[in-house]
Amino acid sequence: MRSMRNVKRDVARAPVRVGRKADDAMLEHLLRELSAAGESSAVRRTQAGPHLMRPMAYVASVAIITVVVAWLLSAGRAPQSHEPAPVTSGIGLLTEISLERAFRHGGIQAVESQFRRALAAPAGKPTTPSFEELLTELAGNEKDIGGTSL
Amino acid sequence: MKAIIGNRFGKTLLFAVMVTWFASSARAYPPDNAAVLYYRAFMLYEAEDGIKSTLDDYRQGRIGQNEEIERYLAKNAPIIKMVLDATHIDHCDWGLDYSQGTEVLLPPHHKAREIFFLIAAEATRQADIGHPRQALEDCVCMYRMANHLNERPLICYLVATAITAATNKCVVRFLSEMPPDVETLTWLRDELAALDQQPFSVYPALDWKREAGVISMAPERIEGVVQAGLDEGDLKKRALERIRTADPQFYARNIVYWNSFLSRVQAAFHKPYEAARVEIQELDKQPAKDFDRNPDATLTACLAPTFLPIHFLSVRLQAQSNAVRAAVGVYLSQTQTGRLPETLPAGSLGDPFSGKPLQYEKADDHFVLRWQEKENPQKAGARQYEFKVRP
Repeated sequence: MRSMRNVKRDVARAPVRVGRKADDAMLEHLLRELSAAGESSAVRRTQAGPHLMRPMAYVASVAIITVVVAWLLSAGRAPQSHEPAPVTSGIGLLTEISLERAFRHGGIQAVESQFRRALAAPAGKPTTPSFEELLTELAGNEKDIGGTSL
Repeated sequence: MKAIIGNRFGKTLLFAVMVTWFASSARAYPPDNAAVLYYRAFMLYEAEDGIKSTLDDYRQGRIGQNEEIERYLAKNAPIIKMVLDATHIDHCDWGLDYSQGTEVLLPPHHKAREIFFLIAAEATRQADIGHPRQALEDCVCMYRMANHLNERPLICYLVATAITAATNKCVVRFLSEMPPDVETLTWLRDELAALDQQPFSVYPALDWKREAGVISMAPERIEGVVQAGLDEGDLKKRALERIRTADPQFYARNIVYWNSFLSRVQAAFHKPYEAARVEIQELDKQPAKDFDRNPDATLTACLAPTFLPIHFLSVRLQAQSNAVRAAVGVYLSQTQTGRLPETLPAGSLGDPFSGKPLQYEKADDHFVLRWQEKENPQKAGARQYEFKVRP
């Protein structure tokens, strides 16, 4: 069992950068769940209660929970399924094995449809800068490009 | 340097080097790789809504030439030229990364079909305005394009097969409508013979299928391949379970099974049609049958395509192509003698379904070449080509 001092020191040094509001909300939620679980179990209440009632233990528990939650959120380590998701769009549809699967379903017509689906331009405004924007950035001044000077 | 330039030999050498250098830099078009032009054409060509059916109707003679077709072909003349130029380049490298096995990314071959409609319509226009030789030249270009498209993956073979079969139908139509012309027919016969020096074939696709399977049967690849290649169901679920608990011997034994299976498939493709059909039909069922009791069949059951339709398509295409070549011989004979021959000219290619010569029937205004295909019995037109004859 690590000493409380060590725990506090590690928590203080942990490189965690998360929003304070989000942390508080998450903390409140977890505490509500924790207390609800404690109320439903007399045994757990008697074991956990004294710890939670002690200020130092309370602070340490909160800090550990915060660190774990923040680490999961910041590192994107949400629990993942072991199986890779089946390919349903994008360039994965253009592999030989994926196109052969399409052929089994609907012949060469299905292959053609899959090619189209894979290469279809996404609808809506592009999220990457336009050439005009890139050239403006290069020139450093929008007026230098003017859209027609090339 | 001064000494080299100073003497006559040196000057000549320098001149030759400069000429070669200038010539190579001036000759930037066409490139030495046909795929560059195909990729450009595929990228630039966007078929207008509804035009494909119009072009196809025109190609098949269901509608005549009209302003819309004229305008569309004129608008896309640069694309047509680009593709026709590409077909005259021998070397065609699509830049596929075959080290990826069955996960190799394929070129956008669906665009080839749209381009085919465009060029077939242009060829039809040439025939309609009285230029049958140009129409047939366009057809030879489409055969070459199909050969270029026939990269190793089976999908590429199937796309190329579809284009070759459709081009055969164009040739049948143009031969039927053109006036007797020994020069054009002789030219076409020689062009087809030149194409047959590197015959359009399914065998490279089978060789690659075998190689790709082995590459994909690697522990780091196989799960992704099975996920992409199989539909959700019991086979996929059980195969993934086996893969996740597999040891190195599992992969080694599965590769042995795969190689043995593909060897039998490849051998069957070389047999006479009926024997091949029966054997391939059985082979197609074999891995699934073995799956339950033999873990070595696991990956073959996952990766093996159904070979029977591929075999049938390859044989039918061969029959059609042989009929086109035999017909050119018949037309040549008719042009030289003034009447249709009693039998097919010597050396005519035969019927791959029966292993016998193509059936030849002649009438006053046409002749028929028929192959003994048992599939599609309700469609007589699928088993023969009818060639009209001008008096």
